Amino acid sequence: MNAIEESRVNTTVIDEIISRHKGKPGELLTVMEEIQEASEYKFLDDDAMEYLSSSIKVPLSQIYGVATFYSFFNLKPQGKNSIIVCRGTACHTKGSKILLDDLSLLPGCKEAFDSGESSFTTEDKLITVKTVACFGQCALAPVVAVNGVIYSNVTSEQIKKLLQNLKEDNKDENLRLS
Amino acid sequence: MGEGQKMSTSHLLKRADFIFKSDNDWEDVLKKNLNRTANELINELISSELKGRGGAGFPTGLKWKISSEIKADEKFVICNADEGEPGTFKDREILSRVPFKVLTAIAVCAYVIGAKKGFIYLRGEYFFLKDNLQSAIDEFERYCRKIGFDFSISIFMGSGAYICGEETALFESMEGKRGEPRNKPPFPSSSGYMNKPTVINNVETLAHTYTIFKYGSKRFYDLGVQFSRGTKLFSVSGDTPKPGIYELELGMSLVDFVEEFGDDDTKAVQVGGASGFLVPRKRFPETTIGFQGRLVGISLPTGGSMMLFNSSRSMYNVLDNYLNFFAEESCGQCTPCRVGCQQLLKGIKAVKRGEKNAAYLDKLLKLAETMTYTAKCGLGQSVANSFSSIVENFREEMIY
Amino acid sequence: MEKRIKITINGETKEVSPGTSILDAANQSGVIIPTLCYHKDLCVAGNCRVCVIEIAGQKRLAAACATPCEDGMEVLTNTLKVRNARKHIIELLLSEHNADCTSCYRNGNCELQKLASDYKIMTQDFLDLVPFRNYTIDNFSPSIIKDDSKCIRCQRCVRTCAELQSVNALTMSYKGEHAQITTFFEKSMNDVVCTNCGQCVNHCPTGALTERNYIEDVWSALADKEKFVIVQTAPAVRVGLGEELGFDPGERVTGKMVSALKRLGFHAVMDTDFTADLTIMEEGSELLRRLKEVIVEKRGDVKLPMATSCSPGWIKFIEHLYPDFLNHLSSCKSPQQMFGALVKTYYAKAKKIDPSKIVSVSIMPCTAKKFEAARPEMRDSGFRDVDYVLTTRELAIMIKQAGIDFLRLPDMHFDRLMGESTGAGVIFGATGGVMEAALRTAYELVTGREVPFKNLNITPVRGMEGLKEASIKIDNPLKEWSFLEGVQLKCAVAHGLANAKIVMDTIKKGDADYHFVEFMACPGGCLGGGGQPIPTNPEIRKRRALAIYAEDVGMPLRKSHQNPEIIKIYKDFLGKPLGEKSHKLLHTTYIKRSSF
Repeated sequence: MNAIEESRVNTTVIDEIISRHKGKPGELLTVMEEIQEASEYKFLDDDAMEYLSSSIKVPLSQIYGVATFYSFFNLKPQGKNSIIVCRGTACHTKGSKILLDDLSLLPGCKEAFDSGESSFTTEDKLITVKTVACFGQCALAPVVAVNGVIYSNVTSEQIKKLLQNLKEDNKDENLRLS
Repeated sequence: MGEGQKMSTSHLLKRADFIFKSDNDWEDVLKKNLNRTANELINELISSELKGRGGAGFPTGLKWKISSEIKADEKFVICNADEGEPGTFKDREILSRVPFKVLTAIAVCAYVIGAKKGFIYLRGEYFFLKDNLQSAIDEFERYCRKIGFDFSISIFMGSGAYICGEETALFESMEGKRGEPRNKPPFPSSSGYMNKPTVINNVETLAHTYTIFKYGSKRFYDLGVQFSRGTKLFSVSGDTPKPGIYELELGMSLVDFVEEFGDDDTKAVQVGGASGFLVPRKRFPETTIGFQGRLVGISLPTGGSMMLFNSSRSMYNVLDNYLNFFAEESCGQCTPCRVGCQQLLKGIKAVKRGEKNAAYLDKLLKLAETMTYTAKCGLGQSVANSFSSIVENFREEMIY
Repeated sequence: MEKRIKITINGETKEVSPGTSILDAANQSGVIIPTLCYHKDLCVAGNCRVCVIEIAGQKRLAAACATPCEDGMEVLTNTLKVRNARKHIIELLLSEHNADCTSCYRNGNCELQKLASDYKIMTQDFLDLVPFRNYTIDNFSPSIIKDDSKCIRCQRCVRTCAELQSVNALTMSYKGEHAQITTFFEKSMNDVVCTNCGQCVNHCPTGALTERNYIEDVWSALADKEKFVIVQTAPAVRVGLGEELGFDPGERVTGKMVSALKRLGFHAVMDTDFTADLTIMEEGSELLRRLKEVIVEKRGDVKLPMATSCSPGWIKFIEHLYPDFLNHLSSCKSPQQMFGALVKTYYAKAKKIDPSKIVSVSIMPCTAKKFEAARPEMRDSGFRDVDYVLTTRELAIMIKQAGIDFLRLPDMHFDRLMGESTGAGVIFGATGGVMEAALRTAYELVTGREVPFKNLNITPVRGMEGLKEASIKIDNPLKEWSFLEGVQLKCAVAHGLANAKIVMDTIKKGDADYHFVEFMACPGGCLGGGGQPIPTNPEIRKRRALAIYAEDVGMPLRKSHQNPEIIKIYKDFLGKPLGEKSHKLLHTTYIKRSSF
């Protein structure tokens, strides 16, 4: 946890983000997104939200209400690699559940999803598994995004291979679904 | 109904090619139309009978007219690209393939109503479109400056909430708040983003206005059938050999559609995404795709999602997926949508497990009706559609 | 002539002004439409959908609260479709609500329960959703308990906290099935910016937000033969209590309340109004001292305007949100805490009672007073100065539990030594009252003459306007106060923390030229306090205010400095205002708190 404590977004970064968007419409959401982006573990920590609240004079509770409303905001540290499985109807029909089951083999993952969590991060912060309501890539179902790149017609074998690659080596070229 | 029977109510599947035609003449179209009067443009739109392509089907010309007639120090045009309906991916294609048509349409709308500022509310999941779209905007704005038209467009990225496709939720989101739909009235035309008169149109609707402004309203009006004029993009997915996006004339029969896109084993088609209706095979002949008017048979408005299911699919699973989606994605402020979705979802599970008897489905159907009548926003009013149409047509699958 | 529009409600034609909601139009016509998320104090949300009605020609039902009347509209409020829909909605709300009514604090005064009863929801068809949730009960605050299992997400509390109070401790968070009312990161109400004002409690339709009650503790104290249990009652209680016990709003029940307290077994029943008068002596003197320090001594460290310090919700508000302005606050404790400090010193000594045997109870219109009594600073008597704080509502519960037929009680008087008060003490219960009482005394101290207002009624500071201002020119002061000659004494009154915020922002900007400002956390002042009977709304607040001012007019003495017991306590015990003993027992300090 210490590494995460130390990785909190520092206030000069937040100041810079705020000043860049000052007065622009929907300032709050954009600023929150960029603060999250600036954080090493891609999440909004409570200090950052408190600092943001006092800087832009938006009540902290409102920031929290917004952060919990939109699925892009993370309130917990995220893994280095993200795997997002689409659970839209087309993907669901074409077997996205099986892909999610494959990913659920990660220790603790199944328990997290069963208890109603919408995302799971491995203990070592290597992988975060999430679902998305629909990627809008229904013609290419099932669809999975790995580190922001969307892959179509994904198979169970590909997912298993990816997990293995992630565990065994971290070479970038192996962190793809292909 | 007497009048309707005489008319042609549906036609064979007719493909069209307006929207994706790369005609690279946006500069001319823009310049030409900025030289017309606002009234001319509004009348052009009204006589085309174009209706909103996001799903609700409000006449676009009327929408522009109302906003144009309201006096205000500031007005806005917003292009709704928060395409979140599962099974819909047409707006993504439009913005990536013909962004200038949409930008031109936004600018013409701004000219008509007297706005200086336009926005594209881009669904967060479409982040990969952003850079190209921004360069298109840069080029577009350069041209506007060149011809002396004072107008700018910004992209606003959504942050991942289905409900923000609802126009007033979208405004709330743009104002930095939770995307919770507002009470209507007031309507966006008079009080929208920042409580200023706002025209908000779906990406596809705007793309169609380009067609109309380019070719004139008659060309558009002559396509389709009464009450459902013009063409429409359909996002075809599910059990089909050719998933993808197709521009088709409105008013087609579902029989013809399935003939073209089915895999010869089509059991049902979900029209309009998760918030739309499921049409079982036995009702394909009486179903036409268009806006509700005095057409014979069932006419279904649609945001353009057509998802085909073949006989290997369990409709229970499909419904379970839809209801899970809504239970999560309801904004949660109004009772019928927030609690209703949970009751429908947990209800079908309880029936499936035998914890509730089959007649419980009838209670839930009545509840679904109440949800439709009483929910606060358009999305809340349609969340139970899939439930009702699936349970009514595939009751046995819910029970066994 | 204002344009009027015509609508029909259930077939009867009605003329209304444009913009009138269907709900208001119906109410004006004597047609009752049930509501839940609607509250007269708050902006319209249109969330619960209980108020749906049918409009001829429309397939969908409309929310009466959120739909304006349109010319020619035909509204139907009692069709089969409407009744069925309403029943469904009530059933849905019950399905996500922990409807264990018999063990609920709001049993008998719950709006959801009433709807369920009105619509005779005899069986619960739908699945009980409560077991699917991991609900928590937040009972860490000394004032407020938040039980999420009772919450129906109407957001009245969220709107109250934001619109009326500008505190924003509560928010709607998450969405869909997970939507719930929380604080930042679901912290306890005790660990966030919450002021404990209790307005959320007063506006909650169910038992999701309630006061932390100390009823059993007080019963135990009363049953303890070793203890001497003293009670004080705040001015606003006497104009609210009746509502809980069968009277209409606005009925003064002072004498019956005293009788009831005696029957409950309190050994001495005394009046917070006494220390309200004492507050005027101390706070008035402090104001004059500050004026002298600023005007004559030109001391930069002394701040004007001086702000009142009677309202503990307001105190916590300024501690959280304007921590750099605490030196504007009067150092006077609130009347409750002055009373507490004196009961275990002055009163104990005079009555020869061991202060360790005294249990000091207060009856307050307020939930923030519970927190205030628990503050570590509030132990100047050597003990906890006030042991238990009960709200008006809790007192009513005790009266009912004791089987007291309140309507038929005789009137009785407060006990002596700390039970005498003046009209000036009474009006502390209404917004502007502290200001008015202070002016009545301060002006007279300075000039030797009564305030120049007819019958002592300083009407500019009265009423429900959110911000009120008044100024009095000081002519011909007594020699000691000659530096005030010709000074326009400028005062302001703010009630409801949203209004307090407006004034504080002006002070912060340096734009406020007031000398003295009264701040009350709750709309209407204490009479609209978070601990007052539910419902409290603008109409009821007005009636309670009328009762307060009627009580004032009926008092033989109406100026704090005339109170014989006040004169006596300075002579026998305190010495003089702002004296050494006062400083020790009646004044306090404040703490900077986090703005979160």
